[in-house]
Amino acid sequence: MPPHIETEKSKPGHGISARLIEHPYFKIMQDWFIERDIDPQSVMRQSDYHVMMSVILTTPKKESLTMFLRMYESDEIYFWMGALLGKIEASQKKEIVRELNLFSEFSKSTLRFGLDGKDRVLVSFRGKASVLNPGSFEKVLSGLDYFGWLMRNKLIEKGYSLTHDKNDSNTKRENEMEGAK
Amino acid sequence: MNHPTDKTNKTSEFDAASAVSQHPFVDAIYRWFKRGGLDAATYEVETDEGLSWWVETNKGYRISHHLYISPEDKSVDFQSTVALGQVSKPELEKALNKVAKLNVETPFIYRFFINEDRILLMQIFDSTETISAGSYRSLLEDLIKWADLTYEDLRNEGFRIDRSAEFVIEEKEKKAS
Repeated sequence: MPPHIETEKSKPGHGISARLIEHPYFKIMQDWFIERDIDPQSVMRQSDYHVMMSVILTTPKKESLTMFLRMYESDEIYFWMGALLGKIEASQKKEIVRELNLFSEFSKSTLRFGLDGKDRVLVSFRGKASVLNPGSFEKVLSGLDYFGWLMRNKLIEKGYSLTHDKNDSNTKRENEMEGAK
Repeated sequence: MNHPTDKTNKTSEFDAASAVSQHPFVDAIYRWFKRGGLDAATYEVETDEGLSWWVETNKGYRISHHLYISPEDKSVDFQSTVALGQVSKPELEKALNKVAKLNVETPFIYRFFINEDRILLMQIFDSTETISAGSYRSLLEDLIKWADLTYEDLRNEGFRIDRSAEFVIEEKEKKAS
């Protein structure tokens, strides 16, 4: 596989590059959080090659959905944004993997449906910054949380269980933010 | 997967193929074929929804490109798909797990799935409003590169992927046309 950013390791003391900060997508990412009354700085992690913002949103059905937005640099600037729908139960893995495969086959979008190494369902969109124009980036971003909710509800309606790990760093941060209110 | 229908089988009054034929993405596809030393016109099929192309590369990948136009708002969607080959029956579950992982971990825009014939496919589907013709061209150029990398990775992990099985879908498509 070609090199790619896999972990969310933060390197304290390093700043993200000017290329990332000055990129129009960085501003769009920040605005996405500001529109939801969230200070982007409070949910941002960064190293010298990437910046990531993530937050758990509460759906109208009082369910949780983690949104993450990441930009990073290698040969070019790339982005990865997605909705983390929750962790599956091991006993349901086989059926859920088949469901995700069907979503991938029949979805009329570029979204990708997968399972990460911690058995969490992810709906995501990944690409080179140069491939999308800022308007399209904004459009995909604004549709992703809605689509994440929709898909989470679909899986729950089919009887699958999706939970958020209390020890997950995003959950912890959200709990801290809730406590601070 | 959508399958093409022959010109003579058209049912709708709206001429989707003609409406989409001037779209800049058609040019991108023609250039992609030309770069491979092939004449795209040979592979072009008019469908009820727009235009489609099928080709098998000398590396054994079966590739399809589709352009779909909406009769209502005339918006155009595109789909480019590479068939990496057929996974074996005993490996299907393992391969589905791998596909779910690839859809999170691979650093490119394409997504993976396995169809009912156990063919492992790598695909990009989106609106032409989201991606420019120039960007589409660069995505097409990368398609084989990423297919090669993924195929080799899977082989190195011990997956048996049968390329000859791609003819199964080819025959199916012929019957549908």
